[in-house]
Amino acid sequence: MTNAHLPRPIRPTKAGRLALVTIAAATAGLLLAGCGSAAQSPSRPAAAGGAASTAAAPDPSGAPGAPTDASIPSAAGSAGGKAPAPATAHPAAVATPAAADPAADTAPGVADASRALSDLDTQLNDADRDVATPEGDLQ
Amino acid sequence: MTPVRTRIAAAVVGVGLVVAAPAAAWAGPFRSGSTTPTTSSSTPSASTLEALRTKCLAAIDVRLPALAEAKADVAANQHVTDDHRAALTADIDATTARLQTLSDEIKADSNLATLRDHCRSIFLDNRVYALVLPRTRLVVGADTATAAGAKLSDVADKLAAAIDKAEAAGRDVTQAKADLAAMKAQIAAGTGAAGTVAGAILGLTPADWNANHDVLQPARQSLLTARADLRLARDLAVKIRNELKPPAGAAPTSPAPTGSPQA
Repeated sequence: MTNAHLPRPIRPTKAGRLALVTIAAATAGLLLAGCGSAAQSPSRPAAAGGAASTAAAPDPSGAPGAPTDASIPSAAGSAGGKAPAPATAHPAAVATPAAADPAADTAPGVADASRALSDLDTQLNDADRDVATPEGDLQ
Repeated sequence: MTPVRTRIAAAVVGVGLVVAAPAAAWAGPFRSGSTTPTTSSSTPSASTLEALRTKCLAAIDVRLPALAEAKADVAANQHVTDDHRAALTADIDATTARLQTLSDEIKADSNLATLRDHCRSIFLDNRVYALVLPRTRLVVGADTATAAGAKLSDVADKLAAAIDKAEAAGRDVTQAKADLAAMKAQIAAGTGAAGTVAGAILGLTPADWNANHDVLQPARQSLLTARADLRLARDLAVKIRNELKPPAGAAPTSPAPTGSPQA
């Protein structure tokens, strides 16, 4: 049996392949458009914008206006006064005799105060956000 | 067209339709969100009644979770005093109960005027976002400021002892003493301002807010003042501590066993 007797392989024509590629591209475009709209989620009305404009926002660093001091840990993440990280002794304060730095034992207290001030920022921001939410009086 | 080509073309069109149909459905949010009924079977008054009922129930549905969240925050906050926690919780519970009663009444309303009265009551008689929730935040914030002031007072006591120790060792502590006095003054001012907040706003009612929309403003301003004062006190504490650190290169009075002598 020679090749001349074998059936020709079935392959789409060039026009067929072009049509296939065109339809695939169009459906991909529709899919992308659908995914973009479905990702939107409802949000609380007038929450972010109002708070940003009226709130006394904390410093971007998380510790509100804190001067640079390695003994004060970042206050970010302790918002709401819920379960702040326990104040532990400053590592350097443990390793250094009190005589070398007589105020070394004040670091945990300063850190606690910074955390409380950060919680205060959160409460003020939440209050401003609430007030910025329309009460929605019926017309 | 040969039979093979016909089959390929049919398959391509079929796949395209299968994929395009759900994609078009996902694109729904881009379309107009009109809620106009498409049927004309109901009368205009009935459709108005149902539309208002839906709107009012939705207003309650966003307020109840917000109240529950605020109540949980108050319960979990470690700075709130017992008295304030009890007062805030009672206020939140009473507001929640009123809204739940209104929800039942609104669901049963068949008269448009009665429904309107119940809907107005959601806002006029409760003022969740205007009064109940921000008042809760402000009182919690005031107690938090008071706690921060107490912590800073402890720090001030320790700094005073540290200053005495440094002075006994022959150090010049003139600036540290002045800063400590300023720190104590800031703590007193901050805790004083925070201390006025709860008493000024815990007794306010929705009617008070209806009569004066700025009724919370003085308390908010006091809390802002307290925060500024306490921040200054905290910054002074750090400054004093840095002032009391031994100068670079100075030998400690007793050798450090390990690590850096810098605290």
